[in-house]
Amino acid sequence: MNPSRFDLTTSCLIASLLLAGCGSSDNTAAVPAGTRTTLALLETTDLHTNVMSYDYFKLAEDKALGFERTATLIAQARQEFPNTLLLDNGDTIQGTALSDYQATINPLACDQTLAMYKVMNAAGYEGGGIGNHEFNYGLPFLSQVTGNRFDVSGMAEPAAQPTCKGPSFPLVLANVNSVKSAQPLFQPYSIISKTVTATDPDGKPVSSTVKIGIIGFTPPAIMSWDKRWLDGKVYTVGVKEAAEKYIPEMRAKGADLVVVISHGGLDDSAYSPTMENGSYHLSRVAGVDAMLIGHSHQIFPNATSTVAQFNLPGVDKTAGTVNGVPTVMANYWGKHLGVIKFDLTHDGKSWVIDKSKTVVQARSAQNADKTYVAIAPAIAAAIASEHQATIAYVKTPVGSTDFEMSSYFADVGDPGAIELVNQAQADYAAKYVAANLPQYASLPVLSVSAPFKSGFAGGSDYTDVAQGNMAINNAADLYLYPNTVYAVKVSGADIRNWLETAAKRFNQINPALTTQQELIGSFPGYNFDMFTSPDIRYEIDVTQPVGSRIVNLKYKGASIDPAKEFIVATNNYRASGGGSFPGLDGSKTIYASPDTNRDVLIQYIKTIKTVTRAANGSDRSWQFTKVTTAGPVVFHSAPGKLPLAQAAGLAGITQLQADDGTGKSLALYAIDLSR
Amino acid sequence: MPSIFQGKDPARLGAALLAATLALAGIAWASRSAPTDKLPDEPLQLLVLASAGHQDKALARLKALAEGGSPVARRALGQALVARGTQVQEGLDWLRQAADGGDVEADFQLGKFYQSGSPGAPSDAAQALRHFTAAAHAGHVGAAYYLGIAWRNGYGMRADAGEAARWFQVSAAGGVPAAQFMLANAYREGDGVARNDAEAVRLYAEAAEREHPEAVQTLAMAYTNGELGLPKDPEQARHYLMETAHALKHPALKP
Repeated sequence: MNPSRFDLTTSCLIASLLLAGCGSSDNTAAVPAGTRTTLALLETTDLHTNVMSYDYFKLAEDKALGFERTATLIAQARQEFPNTLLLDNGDTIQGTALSDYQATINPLACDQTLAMYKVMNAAGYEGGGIGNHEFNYGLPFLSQVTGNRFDVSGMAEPAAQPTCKGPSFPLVLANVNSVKSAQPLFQPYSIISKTVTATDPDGKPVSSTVKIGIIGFTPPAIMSWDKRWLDGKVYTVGVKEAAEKYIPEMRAKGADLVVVISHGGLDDSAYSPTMENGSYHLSRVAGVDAMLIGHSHQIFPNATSTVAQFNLPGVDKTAGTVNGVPTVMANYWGKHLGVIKFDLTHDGKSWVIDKSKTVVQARSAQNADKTYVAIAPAIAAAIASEHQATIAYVKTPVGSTDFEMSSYFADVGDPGAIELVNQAQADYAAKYVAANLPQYASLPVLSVSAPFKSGFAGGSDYTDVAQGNMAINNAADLYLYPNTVYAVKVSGADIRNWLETAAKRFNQINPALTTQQELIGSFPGYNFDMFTSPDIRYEIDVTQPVGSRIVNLKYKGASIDPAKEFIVATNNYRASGGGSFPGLDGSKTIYASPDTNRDVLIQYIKTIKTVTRAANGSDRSWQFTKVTTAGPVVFHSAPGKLPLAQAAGLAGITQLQADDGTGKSLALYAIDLSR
Repeated sequence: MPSIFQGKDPARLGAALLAATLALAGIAWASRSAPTDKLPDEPLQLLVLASAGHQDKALARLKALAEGGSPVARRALGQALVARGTQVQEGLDWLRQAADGGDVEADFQLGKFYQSGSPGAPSDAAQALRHFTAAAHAGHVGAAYYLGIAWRNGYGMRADAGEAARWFQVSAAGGVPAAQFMLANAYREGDGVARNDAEAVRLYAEAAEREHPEAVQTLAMAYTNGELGLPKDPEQARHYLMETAHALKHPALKP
């Protein structure tokens, strides 16, 4: 044996154990027919910058995700297989507070490497694709962090652009072109010359080279999802047409194997150049040896999968093939590692796959006993400063509040945790309408929101932001759901119907009953939408049946005109039909913003700096219609919070029992509806 | 300082340096063959090139195909002209010709155009309804969704929850996530159909699998609170809540 080759192999193996990839070199020496080797393709997908097993909103470890555990699966695979090629499918650079921090809060310098790519470099990736989320921060950022100079309108001529640090492996994308140049934005494919350990026809170990062509695809729907960044700058080409164009080129350039990196799932409906999930049709393009797929956040192969896309004709969910092509999808957030192992024999001209020996697996970072594989400590060490900076960012005060903002008494009229949300939403929507929708400029802009945390799970299931500094992570307490701001155009009549539906929150109260009556019914708090503005006033008459409870509904002091048009800022869930509110089903949406209610709230707090009870927590749009009841009317909230009701100016509330007996850390309160 | 390039032809040196720079910089891919690329014959691919790609030669090619009589090319040309915004009326004429030639998708596209209107042309609910009705009756599942919306709200007709549910059913069976979500809501509320939580959950899950954000969120809420006959399951609730955030970045597109 040639000692230098032995050394190369050995060092390569050691490097593998240390998570560094084996070097690739161009070895063009003729390979004798009958030489055999194996090659294991390793896939990650939809990592979404989950480098650490960590939840930045909870500021706590989350073992269920994170590349620091995937890295351990990679190391294990490298111990098992002598030759591995580690590839990423995309949706890599966006998805956590860490990615937001590096993209928008403290933008990465040109000469720096993104934290995600840093650890991927260290792990020895040799290629990657581009997902749809790569476009989320816009083209200049994508250009910078991938080290690609884009020739697109809105950016300087490529020659005038600096060359920034990208990952140390090629990124490929074949179906997105620049409008300006009609050329692909990224290199459509790359041919990797992979040095492998092999066995010659005499059974002796030798070093050889396999040429693997990788070609990447992203969902054409990026043109809708990231329209604000992409419109007029790039366009998509059908994945099938792009594959049919480039794969023969790759073969002509000597690719022994062609690996499709398709950021999309399987859809067997009729092919269209704009279909979102094109991988099924890609499997039928001639010359595809393997597919690494993603985007759907699913596991493939998976014999027990009930997911529709893995139960199509031609899809073998046990063997991991699509129309005979070995295919893997490695879940998301680093929870799985995809493996496609090929046995290869050289026929004197090219490497040939022994299809009977191909193995396809999606390996979980969770063990059978529900524990998780250990972390690879090198990962956390490589991005320690970025991780700490992100935590500091999440904890950074964005403003302060002069009162405790809570939802303990939101059901009975305290707007303290809701008005700020409504103010932020209305401000955001009004500015958008003024700038972009001149046809609606004369319409009033209102806002509704609901007490999302209203005690369903017990005494700790309430919004409660302490007086003092407010940080980014408080926004998740004030706004539980990861919604985006939507604006709808509705009539005065629609507003009445909207409020009638929200008022289903309450049971119908019989004033004559002397027995105790529960005020709150089973209608969920997250659907109890309310206005909190001096411009709109209404009463809720809980003695009336559902549908006739909203009385004295007034806009600016006068009875609301059923025909008058308004714009109401809300969230995507409500605007698109969530909660089945009458007239709300997407058809009245005039602005579906890409910005989350949480981010809009944070920006608003940053702008006003100081949140006060007087300005941001005391505008009650609604009251109960006054009624004297013969018996007590009761509701439940966390114990000992009466001072908060009083601070909110709510009269007639008393705590009857500190423990309501439900075992959920709730107290029983009474409300005097005559006050 | 002696250069390693000493004695070389300066022009070739420049070219070599440029080539090296390009390679190092990962500059935008420049394929030698691409500028003379043949245009595809496929109208839908041409539509992408003519609209999002802003390629006039693709538009010209589409026009030639449309004049040759292909309904799909006529529809694609109509869509491209409407999308480009400069020859909207001509685009609508081509869409009408395509629809008259039996192209159901053209009727659907006309319905969408009249529903949303365009700068200079206000929306026209009656026209939209006419085209959606024609397309839905011809089996277009996207048009069936919009017909369901019209029946639900009484856009251009008297509202009828039963008719709305019936068209949502047609569209949902055709795989339209927005219709699956609306039909699930109908089953949950007993709105035009008999209340059926199990069927609602099945449809929410189907829409959620297709990344319909509101369906994903509905499941998150249901697992949080134990609604719709589902058990309270914090792990599932958390999973669906995180998936809600993710799906919102690339929601299932409306038909």
